[in-house]
Amino acid sequence: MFYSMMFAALLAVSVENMFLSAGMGFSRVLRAARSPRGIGPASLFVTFFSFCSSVEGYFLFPLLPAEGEKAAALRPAVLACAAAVTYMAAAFVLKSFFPGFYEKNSRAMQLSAINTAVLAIPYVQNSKGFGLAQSAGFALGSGLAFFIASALAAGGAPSCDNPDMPKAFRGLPASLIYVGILSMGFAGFTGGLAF
Amino acid sequence: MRDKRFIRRAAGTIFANGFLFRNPVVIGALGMYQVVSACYSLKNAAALSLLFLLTAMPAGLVMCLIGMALPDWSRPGAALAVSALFYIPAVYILEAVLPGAAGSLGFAAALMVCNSAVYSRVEEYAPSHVAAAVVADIAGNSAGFAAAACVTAAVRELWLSGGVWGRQAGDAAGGFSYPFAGFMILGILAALVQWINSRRREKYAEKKGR
Repeated sequence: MFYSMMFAALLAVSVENMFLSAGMGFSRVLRAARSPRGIGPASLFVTFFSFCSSVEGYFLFPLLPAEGEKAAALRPAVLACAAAVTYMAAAFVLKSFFPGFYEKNSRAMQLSAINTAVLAIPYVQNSKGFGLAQSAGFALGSGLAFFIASALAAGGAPSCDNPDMPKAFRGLPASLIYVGILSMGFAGFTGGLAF
Repeated sequence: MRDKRFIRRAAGTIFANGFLFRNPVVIGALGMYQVVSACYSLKNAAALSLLFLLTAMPAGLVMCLIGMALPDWSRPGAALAVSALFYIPAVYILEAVLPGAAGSLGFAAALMVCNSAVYSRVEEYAPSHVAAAVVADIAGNSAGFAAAACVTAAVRELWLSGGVWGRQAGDAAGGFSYPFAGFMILGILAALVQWINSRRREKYAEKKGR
């Protein structure tokens, strides 16, 4: 069980990297990269909410319609509502019992919880046929993948503001092209569309 | 009369900001997943743009009505839940307009419910603004998302198959349909909008200096 969990975590960081190979949650990655000190807490929140999302997906997916229009409409809505309830519960607990921590990290928590990568976990585990242990491993790996993607984006940020490049390309445009090159490397790993 | 004209002008400015000058995708770096991963055919881009509008508009109006009444800590969760609620009819309307689109788009359509561009309008903008501003903002942002998605998709589809609107929704074909190509096209689009914004600023400074 431990090995399958670790293998799923390795998949999440490498060939099934949701951030770098599929571009999921990248707006959150770029935001986290703006303040490198916040990358650690944001990655922990991503790990926690990814784990919650995987557990919700594990129990809710079998109860939801599997195919057709109904599935296309209901699955995302139900899973998003579950994620909303999880976020509210976590925010309420932190605000009530750890107000200082909540005040300091509420924004990072919000951006980590409501994130395409976090909400994609149940779909990934369903499409790959993961069990609960593998899903937990995948969630753990996703947090690490978020950390790596944010650290890479933060590391490239000074070069993306290089005054030698045309003014129009400085900042976000250069960051997007830089991320595109990183993503090209991961496309080589996956050998196709990961998701 | 003067108030009406003022509201119309303000709404126009809000719309233009959302559409171009503060485009959610190429300036705000929001909602990029759908654009980079699924916008390799114009049909996909059209389907996602419609889903964006149909989810964000009613959700934004509801959050405009109830957003300020909710405690701060619960607002993000409430915004997500409201978006999820309106995602259901949005899928049925999308299926009526483009049959099979929601199913074939897979993850990209399903994750529109938590798209960061939709979320930022519904959670951050809508609760603190009047309904007219919310409508103009969401219409502008929807048009901005659609513009970024459609340009990206048209370039990729032209490259992949030599024409547009010919490929089936969800029909990937390697190479240029991978997310990296989407990121690079978005980078070039972002540079174009940044250039337009800097020209605009220069013109404004010239006008002020005269």
